[in-house]
Amino acid sequence: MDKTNRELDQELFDLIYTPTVEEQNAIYIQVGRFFQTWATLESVMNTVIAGALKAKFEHWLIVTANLGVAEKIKIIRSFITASSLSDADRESFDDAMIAIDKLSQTRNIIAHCMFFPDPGNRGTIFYNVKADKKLKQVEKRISKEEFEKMESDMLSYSVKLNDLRDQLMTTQAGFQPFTYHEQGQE
Amino acid sequence: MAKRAPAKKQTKKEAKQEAELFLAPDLEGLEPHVLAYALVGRFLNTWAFMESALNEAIAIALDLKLLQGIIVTAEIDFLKKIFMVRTAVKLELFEKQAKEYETLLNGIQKLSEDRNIIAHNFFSMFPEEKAVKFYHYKARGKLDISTPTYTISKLESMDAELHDAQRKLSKLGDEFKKRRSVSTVPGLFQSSYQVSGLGTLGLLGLPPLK
Repeated sequence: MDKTNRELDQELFDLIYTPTVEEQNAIYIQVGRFFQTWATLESVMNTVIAGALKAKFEHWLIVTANLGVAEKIKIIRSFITASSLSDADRESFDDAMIAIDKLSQTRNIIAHCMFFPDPGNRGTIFYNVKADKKLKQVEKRISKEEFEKMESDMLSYSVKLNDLRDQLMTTQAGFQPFTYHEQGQE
Repeated sequence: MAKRAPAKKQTKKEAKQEAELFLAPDLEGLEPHVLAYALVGRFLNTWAFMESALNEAIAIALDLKLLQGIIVTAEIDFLKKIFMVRTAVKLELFEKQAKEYETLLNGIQKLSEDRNIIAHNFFSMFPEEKAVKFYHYKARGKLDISTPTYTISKLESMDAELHDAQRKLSKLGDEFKKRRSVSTVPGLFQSSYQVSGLGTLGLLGLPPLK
């Protein structure tokens, strides 16, 4: 009798590497904790939008519930650019947002790919195929240390964004006087 | 080379234990908050395996070769994938069979709402309730703030449901293949899936089985 796909998968899985229950659990925990930390960061991003808009609770929930992460990042970067914060602060907050944008790409891989323990570095291997203009096989390895670094970075960015929110709220966002400028004008 | 001893027939109990090991590694003994991380991580991984089987079913339904299948399914939203398979099922299968797969696809579509809650929200474990709560809000015409609660046993059963869905989607792929064999001369056309024979992992481009 022909083997089912499931049986073939299992055979292949065994052929490649058979993780122990502890190794398997360890990567589930890593991924779950990453998502928890990401959710913390994203909730702080929501409050930055709320603070910059000086929106009522219900209003900012309505706005942020309908925005994807990429859109939230673009909006916050625009708030930063338009603010009357010092040049150094603007640059520092924008750098943080660029780093968050990069992290969000890793987050998408983690959220959508099948993963297995990576015995070499006590980490995780994520497999996926992308066909965004170019066909690309993704095999991303994230070590335990890299996971910890990302989590620590996300928490630091959360603290930084809390600061950004407070500044945008207290300094009249500090939004710069707005003037239209003609197309083509520098 | 020493002769291999004939494989011992597996008892039902052993088979069940083995299946449980693969399907649900023992999470007991973990601290409650760590258990919540593990349950979330495991759910997302099982989901990714099921989605890969769904991709494969689409590719077979559309009679696509391996690369074509990857390109078509790589950038399609999850719900649209369900719509595609549902349409193919209605087009190709007999009514009774189609009904069975319709139930499967409805179940997966329902689970996708849970998946979105689990993947996008802050959560915490409530050990006394043996449940994980997610802090969720949506605003699609009505502002809805809620804390969807998933007991550990509910998360376990959703995980099992996803494994079952993955298996059934592979079976659906086989059904589509059977339909193909009726309309093509045997041996003249062999899809890359039949060549790779790797089931869902075939889409990963991993080496063939020896």
